[in-house]
Amino acid sequence: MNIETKKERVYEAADYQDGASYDTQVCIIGSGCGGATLAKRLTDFGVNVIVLEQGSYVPASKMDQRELNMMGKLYGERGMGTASDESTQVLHGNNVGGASVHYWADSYRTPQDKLDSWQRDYGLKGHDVSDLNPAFDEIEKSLNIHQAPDHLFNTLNKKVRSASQSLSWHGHRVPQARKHCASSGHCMQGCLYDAKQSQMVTHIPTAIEQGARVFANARAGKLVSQGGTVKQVRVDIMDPVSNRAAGRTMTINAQVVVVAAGGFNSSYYLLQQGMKRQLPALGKYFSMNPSTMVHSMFEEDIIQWRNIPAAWGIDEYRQRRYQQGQYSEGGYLLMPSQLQPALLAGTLPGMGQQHQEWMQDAPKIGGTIAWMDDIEDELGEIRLKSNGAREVYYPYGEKTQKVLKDSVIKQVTLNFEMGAKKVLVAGAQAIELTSINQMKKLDDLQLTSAGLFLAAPHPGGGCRMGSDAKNSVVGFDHRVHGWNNLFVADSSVFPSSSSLDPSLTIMAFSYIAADRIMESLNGVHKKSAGDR
Amino acid sequence: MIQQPLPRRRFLKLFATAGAVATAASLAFKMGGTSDSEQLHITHSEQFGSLLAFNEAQANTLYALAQTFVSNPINTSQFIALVKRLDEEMHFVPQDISDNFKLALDFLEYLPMAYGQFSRLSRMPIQARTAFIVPLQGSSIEAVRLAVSGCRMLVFICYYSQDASWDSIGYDGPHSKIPEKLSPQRLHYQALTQPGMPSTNTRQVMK
Repeated sequence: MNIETKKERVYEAADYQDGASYDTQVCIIGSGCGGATLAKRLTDFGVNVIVLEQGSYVPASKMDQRELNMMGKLYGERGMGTASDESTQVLHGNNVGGASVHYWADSYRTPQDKLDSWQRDYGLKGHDVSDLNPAFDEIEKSLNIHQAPDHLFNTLNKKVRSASQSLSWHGHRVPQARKHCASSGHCMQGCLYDAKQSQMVTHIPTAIEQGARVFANARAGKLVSQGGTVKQVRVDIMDPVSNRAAGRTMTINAQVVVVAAGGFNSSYYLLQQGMKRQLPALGKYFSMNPSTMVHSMFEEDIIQWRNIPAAWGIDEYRQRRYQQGQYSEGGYLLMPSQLQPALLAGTLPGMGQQHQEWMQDAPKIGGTIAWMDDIEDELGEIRLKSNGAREVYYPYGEKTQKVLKDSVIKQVTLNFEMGAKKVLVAGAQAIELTSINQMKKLDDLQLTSAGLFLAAPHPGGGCRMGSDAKNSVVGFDHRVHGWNNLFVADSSVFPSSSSLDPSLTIMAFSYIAADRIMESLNGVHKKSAGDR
Repeated sequence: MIQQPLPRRRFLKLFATAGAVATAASLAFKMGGTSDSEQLHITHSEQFGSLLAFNEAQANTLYALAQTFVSNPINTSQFIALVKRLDEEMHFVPQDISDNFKLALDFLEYLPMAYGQFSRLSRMPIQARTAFIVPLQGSSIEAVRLAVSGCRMLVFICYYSQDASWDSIGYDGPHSKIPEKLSPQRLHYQALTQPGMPSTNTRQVMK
């Protein structure tokens, strides 16, 4: 099939000819918040763009709201990947639109304290609030981002809001990227109603309309380069039936190549290219917002699996607090949890009779989640295993463990304030409390290696942005140190954890990356420190 | 019999010794075992049909674990369906994940031997199996805790993804009430495991 530049759809495996070669100005590897937004922005400027996505195209017509089915269709490693501790579930997208298709639609601007830290502690330039605000303004409008209205508060959200107010814990309505939400509660299974404003229904179609070619089932392989300039991207066509390489290839000839494969995979991809020697920081400074969970049982029906996941967030403890230089509390955002029954059962501790006693009253189960802001000097690393697989190494250091434990204590407090009759900490020990007075049971809480059941859906770092190639991977122009036309545009460039859901920050960063790429295409190219 | 917790060591490193444990277990098994549970075990093996990721021993271990984890009374065909679905998932996930899960099954199958139980896990009567496994979920031994936890989570995710489990927990099903839409991969698995198709894992159950 001859692939034209003006097709109003996503191309899939059956469309490709073995050995085909395509020319473009910019080849973007990855179609999530980073890649799709960049494609949209570059095509705003009339740039010829090809987007490569190794996963499939899964529009609403292919969704069925069943958990395991949709994990297989939308999630990297079918949702079964873990970090090196073997018990932190790493969640990312493997489909056109990336993780934005299964995320909760929380859409925060980057907190000012985080931007301040990135500038003060990491010397970040060109990404301050005045640079980002125009992008935030435009994206919020195009994705219909607005504070959660009352009718999107389910019973659990109402309880969390009420409890936070009675505890005097500061909270807020969570900004949502939605339009005409059907309140199905299936955000994590993809939105059958196209109400969630994922990249698949916003920036991807806009980019295609403006001339971008989006290739699904197309896995970027070797980068062919000469003298610090990438000339070609070799592409393996993926067989969507076997979920393996189909044995057919394509070649993309591009003036600029942008890696936007997401926080778990961009640094992994560059490691696969053999760049570690040149870029010692590659894969390092990795964050993932490890998240603890607490389940709770109520007298009345909660039905946590309907309406939106998080309408109310508690930011009282988002920043860590210290007394006399010692950590005292905080360092996480608290939210209601929303799980359909399968993931609820998976994260609900215990087995046999104990587990069944909880699950038989599943409609009465509520709970909360705490998104931890990663400790800057205990970050993880994306590594390349000897067999070529990716390792998500995360040390769970001493300081991290203190924050995790405090997040559990605060969640137990919150859930009892919400009126729970019993509370169950999501972890192997299956610690159950029937009263706030039993908090001592948490003294011996195991925190690592399945001691807590953790999830990690917000990866960042691995291609940290900075001025020095010794401790960063890309410059402030998003260009990989030492390379003339290789860029990174996703959360992997973050200097540290984004603290909150990173989607809007990633998109705004892509606006800035687009400006720098335009300068590169127009020959306005300044070599940054660390260039060869 | 283990009186003290084993030294903590990495999950995979410990599992690398599973072969040695298995050999010892096999030797011991020849001295013991119950004929009733063995008969049950063989019957289930025949019902699994073609499997793409698990060998028969791993499927039997998974079946035995599922019986232990899920106390909700379900029939044999539902447990078989659960094993088949996890076989399907493990066929499509990256090799690393599949290998880890199968290693966990192998490890747990022979773990009772290390605790002085002269039987493999899948051949223990269900009450004894439950009494053995439940305390291990919070074990101080990292590898044990991880193996139990990893299997437990996937079994529950798989079990409660099945429509047949929803009535018992008051779940009203997908919001749209639309029927299942099988992905090309799911259809591919069904085609590959039709009756008469050989399993790709043909390693014999150790007897």
